[in-house]
Amino acid sequence: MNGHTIKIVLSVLLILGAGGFLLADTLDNPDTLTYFHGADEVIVKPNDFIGQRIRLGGHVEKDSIMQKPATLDFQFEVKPVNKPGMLKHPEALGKTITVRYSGVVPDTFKDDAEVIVTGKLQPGGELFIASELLAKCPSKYEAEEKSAGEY
Amino acid sequence: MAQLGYYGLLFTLVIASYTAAAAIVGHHRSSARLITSAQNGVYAVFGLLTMCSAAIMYLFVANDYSVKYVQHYSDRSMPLFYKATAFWGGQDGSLLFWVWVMSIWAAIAVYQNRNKNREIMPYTIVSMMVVTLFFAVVMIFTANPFETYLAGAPTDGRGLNPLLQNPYMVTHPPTLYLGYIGWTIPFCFAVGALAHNKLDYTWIAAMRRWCLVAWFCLTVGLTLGGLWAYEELGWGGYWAWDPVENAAFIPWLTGTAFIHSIQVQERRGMYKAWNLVLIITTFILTMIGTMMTRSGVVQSVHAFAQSDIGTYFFWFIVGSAVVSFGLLIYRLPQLRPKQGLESILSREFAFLVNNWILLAAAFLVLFGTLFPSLFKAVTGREVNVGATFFNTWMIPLGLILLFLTGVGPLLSWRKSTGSTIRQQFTLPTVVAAIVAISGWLALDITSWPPLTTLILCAFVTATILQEFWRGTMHRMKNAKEGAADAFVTLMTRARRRHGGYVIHFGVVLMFVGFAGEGFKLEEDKTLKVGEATVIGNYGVTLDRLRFEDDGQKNMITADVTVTKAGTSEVIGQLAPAKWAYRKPEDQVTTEVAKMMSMRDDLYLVLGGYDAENSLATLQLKVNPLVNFVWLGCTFTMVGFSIAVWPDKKKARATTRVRRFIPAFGTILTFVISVVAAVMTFI
Repeated sequence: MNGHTIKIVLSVLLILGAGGFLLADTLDNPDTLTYFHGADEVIVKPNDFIGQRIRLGGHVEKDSIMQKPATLDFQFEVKPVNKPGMLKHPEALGKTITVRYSGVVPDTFKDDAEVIVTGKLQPGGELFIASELLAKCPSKYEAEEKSAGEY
Repeated sequence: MAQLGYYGLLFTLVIASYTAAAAIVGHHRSSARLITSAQNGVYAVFGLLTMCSAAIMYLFVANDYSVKYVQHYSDRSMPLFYKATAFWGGQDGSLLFWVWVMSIWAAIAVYQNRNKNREIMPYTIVSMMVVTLFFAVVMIFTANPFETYLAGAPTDGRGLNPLLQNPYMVTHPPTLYLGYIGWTIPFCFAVGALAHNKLDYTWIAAMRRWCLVAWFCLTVGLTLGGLWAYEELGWGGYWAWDPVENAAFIPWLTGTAFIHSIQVQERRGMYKAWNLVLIITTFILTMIGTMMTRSGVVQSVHAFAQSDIGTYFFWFIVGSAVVSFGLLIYRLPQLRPKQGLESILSREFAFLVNNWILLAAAFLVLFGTLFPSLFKAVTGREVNVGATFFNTWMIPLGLILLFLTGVGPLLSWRKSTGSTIRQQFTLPTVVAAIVAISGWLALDITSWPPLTTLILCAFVTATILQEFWRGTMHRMKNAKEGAADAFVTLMTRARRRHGGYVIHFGVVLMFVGFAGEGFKLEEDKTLKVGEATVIGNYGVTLDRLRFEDDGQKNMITADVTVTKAGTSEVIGQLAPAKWAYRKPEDQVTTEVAKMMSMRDDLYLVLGGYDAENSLATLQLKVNPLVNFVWLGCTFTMVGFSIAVWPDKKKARATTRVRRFIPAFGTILTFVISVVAAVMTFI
């Protein structure tokens, strides 16, 4: 190994090291990296999540969407997604979490829509205040259609 | 008709296999006959896939709902226009679209080179056919667009998502695909060169224009996607670092790196192995991107349904990477550079730094996009990487790149002397300093990125104008031409360089648009009919709430008058609305209303309404400088048309008609860019 190669190796190591450090630091930040949890997890063990910024996923309970008149304040119930791979705690079926959100809602936000809300579970474990709301329409285009109409 | 389409796919499988085999055997036996047969095979595949594409379009237009794909993405009430474009609205059809575009590009590449580059063409054809085969296999075995319902075909379709029923559906996916797939052709040439061991500049010269075309289409495709999101989706932005957006952006980054570093190989015979690494990586990234979009590996608002298609793609990517990098390693001895780096103050080094930055950016975006999947695979927990991650990294990287855009062209090849530096950099630096000081004093800046961006934009613009100015002056003095003559000759003599400058200027304008993000204003307000509010320089008054129905949808519109804030001087009227479609059931779309100017956009969304009490809740946004993004893209189109124009020297060797074709393409692109600019701003 001559001097030239050593220089190259050292600079590469330095760059990778610095980059890796910065990367790890960025990912440590809860704003950059947010953990996702199904509604069933949060219903069953609320104390694990109180005060943490997380993403909560589930379905909007039918007829639960309420909007304060003349504002963009919404309150609705989120129930666990009842799909085999996704339900970790069947005992949470039938229960819901109350979510409050202020702002413009996506057009796909309605009964039974699959939603992901980002925010914090309030002390008490029953109310979730969301700063972001993502909704997917009750899907017509998903792979579940594969099972329908099969021969 | 569906049967015809399906058999077309099967025949494609057969013919493509034959073509690849004929090319391999013909190459090793030096049989010109077999090679010609292989070339014809490529044209035949193009013909077959065109037939399949025509078949699927016909099925849509003829309302044939016995075909599952047609039934899922169309319905009788859809306008004809959208029935045709539903071709690429779903997974299966989009694969067919992908491979059809591939066959078009392949046929053109083969035709262009029918009398040239005999050594590298055979394996180039082989690689093109292998890619085509892959897609044919995937379609035949897991994603058949021609699959029919066996019993009881529905009489009507489910309809295309109304979010997709707009003109952007016609322009964005095709342009993006053209660019994405465009990068496959240079990759195939690289493999051709590696296989035959002809690793000088030949393969690069053969595919140089392809790179420009692919880069251009991808740039326009990405911008159209952003414009679509901005105009139709209503969240007020144009880029969300969504995985599917990133999937198209990452190859763009490495492709841009490639376009620049091949110039170093051209000039100084350096970076040979590096260029091959770049193009192979770009191709692999386009495949990874295609896989990400379709396999459900990443969560995205754009993603197609989850399916096992991911496994097919995964193995294809692994196979391609092993073969191409393997070939590269095998040929490493032939890839020694002719010369070395002589100075840091050289254009070669600037290009090297450009490559490092672009690659770092590509790596970061890829990392951020794939991290959730990797994390889940390792820990089982789900996680989301927010836009903050991307912005934190991409802003500084983008600014360094912007700086290099100005510096690079001013540095000399090999080594810049002190006097060159002084001569080239003085004026732009002074301009940048002036902008810096006035910006600091005049604008209320709380964060550094926007001001730094604007300073650098001024710097780069100064370098570009300086180049044009000096070039023109030089010609005027030496060739004794008038100013206009000198300018035009300058452009025609060094098209690549000056087209490149114009493209750079377009990118600079886009950065000006990005800088505007730092000054955005946003507010949610509920207004009673007759009430007014103020945001930024605009006064907004709610005139009335309108309720209408046109049979296809229910429309709720808020009619609004916009005035200059603080005065009663009316600037215009806006009508943000919400449309509730009947089919698909309860599909609601947001109709954004915006008032455009170069200074900013006033962007209004109807968030909610109360008919009984005559209230409307509006989301008001002011997006400064956003139109520079679209304007910048138009400039890159113009620059592209200049850069891609055929050289005069080559033109002499062909007939007038053949010379006309590339020129026509250039004029067409120019016209399209002007039309696009006009349409965006009207």
